Amino acid sequence: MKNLILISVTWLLGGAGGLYAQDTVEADELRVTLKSIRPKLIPGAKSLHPDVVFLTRDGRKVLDDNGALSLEKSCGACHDTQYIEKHNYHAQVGLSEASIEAAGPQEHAQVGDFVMLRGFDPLIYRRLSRSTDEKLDLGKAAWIQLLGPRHVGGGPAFRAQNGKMLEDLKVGAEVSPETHVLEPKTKTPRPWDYQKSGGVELNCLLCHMQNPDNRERIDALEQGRFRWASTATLVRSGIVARTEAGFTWNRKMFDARGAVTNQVLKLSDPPSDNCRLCHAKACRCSDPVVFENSLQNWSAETTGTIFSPEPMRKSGMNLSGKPSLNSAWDVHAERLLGCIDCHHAPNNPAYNQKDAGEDMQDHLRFDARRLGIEAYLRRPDHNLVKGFVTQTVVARAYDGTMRGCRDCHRPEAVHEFLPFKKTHFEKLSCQTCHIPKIFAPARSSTDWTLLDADGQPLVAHRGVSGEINDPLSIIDGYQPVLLWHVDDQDVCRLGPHNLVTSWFWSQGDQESPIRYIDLYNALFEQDGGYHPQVIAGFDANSDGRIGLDELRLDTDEKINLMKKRLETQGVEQPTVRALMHPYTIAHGVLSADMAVKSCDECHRPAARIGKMYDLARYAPAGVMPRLLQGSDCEMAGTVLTDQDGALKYKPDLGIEKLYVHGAVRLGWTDLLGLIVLLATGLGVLLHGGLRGFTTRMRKSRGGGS
Amino acid sequence: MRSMLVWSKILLAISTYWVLVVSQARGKTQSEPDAPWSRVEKRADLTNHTRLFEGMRFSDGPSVTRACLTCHPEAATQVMKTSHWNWLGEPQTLPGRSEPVRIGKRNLMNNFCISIESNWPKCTVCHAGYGWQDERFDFANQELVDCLVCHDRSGTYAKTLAGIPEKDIDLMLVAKSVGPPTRDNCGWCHFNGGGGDAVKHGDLDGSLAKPVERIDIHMGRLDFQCTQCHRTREHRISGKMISVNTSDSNQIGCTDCHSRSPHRIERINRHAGALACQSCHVPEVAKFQATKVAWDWSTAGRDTQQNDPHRYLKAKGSFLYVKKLIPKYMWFNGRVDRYLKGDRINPDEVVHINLPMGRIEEPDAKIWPFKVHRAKQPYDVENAYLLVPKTWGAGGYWTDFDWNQAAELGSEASGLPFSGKMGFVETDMVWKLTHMVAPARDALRCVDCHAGSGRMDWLSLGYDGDPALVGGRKHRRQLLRNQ
Repeated sequence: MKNLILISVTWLLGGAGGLYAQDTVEADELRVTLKSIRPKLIPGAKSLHPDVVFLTRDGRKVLDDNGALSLEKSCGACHDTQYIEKHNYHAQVGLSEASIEAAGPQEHAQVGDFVMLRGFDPLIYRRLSRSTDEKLDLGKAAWIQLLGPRHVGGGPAFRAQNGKMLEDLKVGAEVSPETHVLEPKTKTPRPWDYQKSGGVELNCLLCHMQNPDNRERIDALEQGRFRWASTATLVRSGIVARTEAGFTWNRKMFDARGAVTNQVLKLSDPPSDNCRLCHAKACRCSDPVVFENSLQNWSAETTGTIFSPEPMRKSGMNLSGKPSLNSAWDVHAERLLGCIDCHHAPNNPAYNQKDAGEDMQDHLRFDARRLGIEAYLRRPDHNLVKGFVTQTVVARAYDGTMRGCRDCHRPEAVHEFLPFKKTHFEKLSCQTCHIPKIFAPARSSTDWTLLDADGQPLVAHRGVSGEINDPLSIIDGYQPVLLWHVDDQDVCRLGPHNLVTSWFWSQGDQESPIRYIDLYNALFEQDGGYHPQVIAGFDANSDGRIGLDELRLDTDEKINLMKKRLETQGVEQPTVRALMHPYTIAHGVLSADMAVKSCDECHRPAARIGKMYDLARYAPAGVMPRLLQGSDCEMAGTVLTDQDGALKYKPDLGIEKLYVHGAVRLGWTDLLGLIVLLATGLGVLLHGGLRGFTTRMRKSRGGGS
Repeated sequence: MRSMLVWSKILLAISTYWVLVVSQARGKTQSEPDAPWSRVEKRADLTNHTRLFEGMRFSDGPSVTRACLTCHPEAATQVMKTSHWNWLGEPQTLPGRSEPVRIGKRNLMNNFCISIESNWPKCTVCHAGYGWQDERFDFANQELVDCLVCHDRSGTYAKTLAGIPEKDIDLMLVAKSVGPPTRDNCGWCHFNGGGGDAVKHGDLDGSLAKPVERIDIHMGRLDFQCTQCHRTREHRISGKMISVNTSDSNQIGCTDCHSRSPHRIERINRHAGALACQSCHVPEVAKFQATKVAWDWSTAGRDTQQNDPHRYLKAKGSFLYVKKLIPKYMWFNGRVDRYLKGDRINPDEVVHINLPMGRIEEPDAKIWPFKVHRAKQPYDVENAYLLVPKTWGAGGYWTDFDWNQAAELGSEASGLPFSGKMGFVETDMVWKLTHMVAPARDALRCVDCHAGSGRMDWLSLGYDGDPALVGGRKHRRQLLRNQ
């Protein structure tokens, strides 16, 4: 009883601490039992979502036989989960789009096609093998293990290309990426046992539950326990516990119906924190924002953008000039906007309002008809609206469906300081001035021609002085390069981008990269150490090890060595290729007082527009990268090397599109000006000369003036 | 030539008009220029007193006062009109009562040490006078005014029971050092309210003696002294605490110096209609030292628990201290509903000792930040009122640990009959938070209040939800009118 009281009191005071949410002096011996400091429900934490009965795939309660949770069945009691999975590009990642198998391999090598599924992205490198591929690289199960951590489940992680559930696939004699995986040691395909692993269902909890256990989910995927991924997401909530044998449901968390209350589940609209799990830091974190050098933090890694209301000076990063950085990482986050406020479901009746002129008869201003809330909740379209960004890889049909800057803001109503408003608004995207700088680092290059001792590519970041993982490195941030791209109004405007350059080996004239396993085996021995020939070729200081600074493919000897090593792995005519990927920057919008206001920023020689942009320390194998076109607007420019061999990019913005006073020189205007000047001078001389001449003539004739 | 002159004048007139009128109008915003320095009280000059006491000897506090009065004959009279001397305010009519009363520390109860009655010497350590031992103290004796506690600049002056200077204090040294009050002088009592540093107020503690700017922008960055905001005329210091006052007269405010709409962003200026400046600019208090937020007298007297001044003391019971205290936000119209000695209580409910008045419907009310101190304190079960126990001194609870005896002795001093049956009832008290003003960069931001898990309890405040989403009280009043 005494212990019970003590526990109650501790809980009570814990509640008080929660209420105050600050440092509380340890209260272990306290006996303050005041009713008035009992915890209260935090406003907004309540949800109308009913309790959920947890079911397995065969429709039984999970408690009956300690089965794996099926969200398709459990959530499907009220929501049309099959519709949701089908109308969900986060799940489909291209599966339901144009026939992937039908397209040629060359097309798929282009960035922009189903990167998560079958396209090549140099940041990830590996892609799901196609049945037409000569050799198996990444089978479906291995794809789930590798890329499942950034995939919400469902789609290709649950179904095969033919629409069958992975669990129902029959393994035939023929090696197929759907049914086989590559055994890394032997480099031979082996069938995957989907009966045992199951498939990965669409994981509703990952987005809709407050504080899902993503770590446990990822562990389950990496261990090949696909069926249990949704269950693992609940570990942190205490509803289920992880055991050596697997997972065990906690019966105390269920009521007599086998339901879990929503007070425990906390289901709601997706909090921004949940988007962060795959995209970028986006939270009202209790801990300071730190940069996570990881592809799991995709948007921050590729662009350096962080969607957080926290003032930058309060971050946990070693930012240059930090004390003066009082602005939030993103002004929209600071002003209460969450991810789904802009990226909402397209059929959400709260947002789905037609504006006058938009598929509406001329005499109407407003269409009052709405999808009923019941119909919406049953079938919410999960193809979330989105903008135009060059790095978009799936659901291009939804590009530009979200409200852009000009759909919410009226730039004409402000910007009083700005001359030639119309011209500026026509030529520049809002982000050009409102994202003048990115304050976190971002990826600048990925070199897959060589691998470090951990088998990882050689990665470089911009915006940081020193090593990215060294907490003492000063983060300077970087100024994005301005490139033409299609913006939210479907118009070509200059907007901020990051350029990520990559080098990789390909076979012959193929544009896709060689298999990772071939590259790895060319560099490393079975025991994981570098091959002696590689050490001999790259160990410049002869210490028997290859340091990071020695991993440079910069001489013919090294290039030839690598070619020979790759040929031993069956790669024919190894060739180094290089690509440059533009990443449009749409987040990290700063408050108005930090936006560009100085004319000098652009209207002077060597100004921001057309500025030379750093790409990489050197060009591996001397191969210059090719800029990939991210949108219908033509991006052009020149890759140059400076005297140290560092690569630079000089954007060619096209004079016919843009004439920037003070920054751009046009030869013909200079010539015209010179001609006008000379003609004026000549005219003055002629006029003066004639007047002088006529005066003298009059005088010589003896006449007056 | 004449036409050129005419055109020049026209052009000059147009350009002057443009510069003076149009450009001004274009740049005009809703905010008023904020020029606080023009209104800040200048510091009083320090007069060198080192040679003014030649030939004198100070044996005690009153002897110093006599010396002071020779040059400042009006000073004691002025002090004796103030609440720092009387521990009573001017007569005022309390909410819900018809007769005006004089209230102050002298006759009010709180939920810390409860009351000074029967405990005078311990409480009057902080009285600006000498020798307040009991109810017979002579408030008309000028020589008992303690000038040094407010004017000492030596840093050596200290008082003990009944406000008598501690032994071994060099009173001559102290007297020679005197000057206008500093933060140390005010802080000697006000930082230690509740019997120790940071205990009572939350926004006043020893960290303000030499603060960095993140503790308080005015005192840290600008080295403000208390009297620069608490303007003082004839020893009457402006500003009042709602623990001992119930009206909003003689208050001080941010707008004594700052503009009413000083922010560049109009949206923030509009907040000022419903929010006190402090609500955003005092985002947390007790930044350096934890402050007491709960006190349970009912657990006092146990020998089984280890004494720890921040957790439990046998003499006092259990405590809860919080550092970086986030305020509680309530509507406040400047008036306070004050519990007076002998008021009947409902022991099943929390007794509000000084409940701030104000509701969302009142246009003049604003949301203010408060520190709330909750307690369980003794009450008379049969008479249903809070008891005044004698805690300090002979027969007091802190000596004998006998509640009945303490209640009886306290009853004799306070005049409140004690039935012999005592219980403990929950009470709360609030302190308006106005110090520890953070630099603008640390003020609250939108998400601190308006995000789903923000610090404001909008429903308790009377809104229908987050006003950023459902509309503010102007919108609410409009709706009510339409209905």
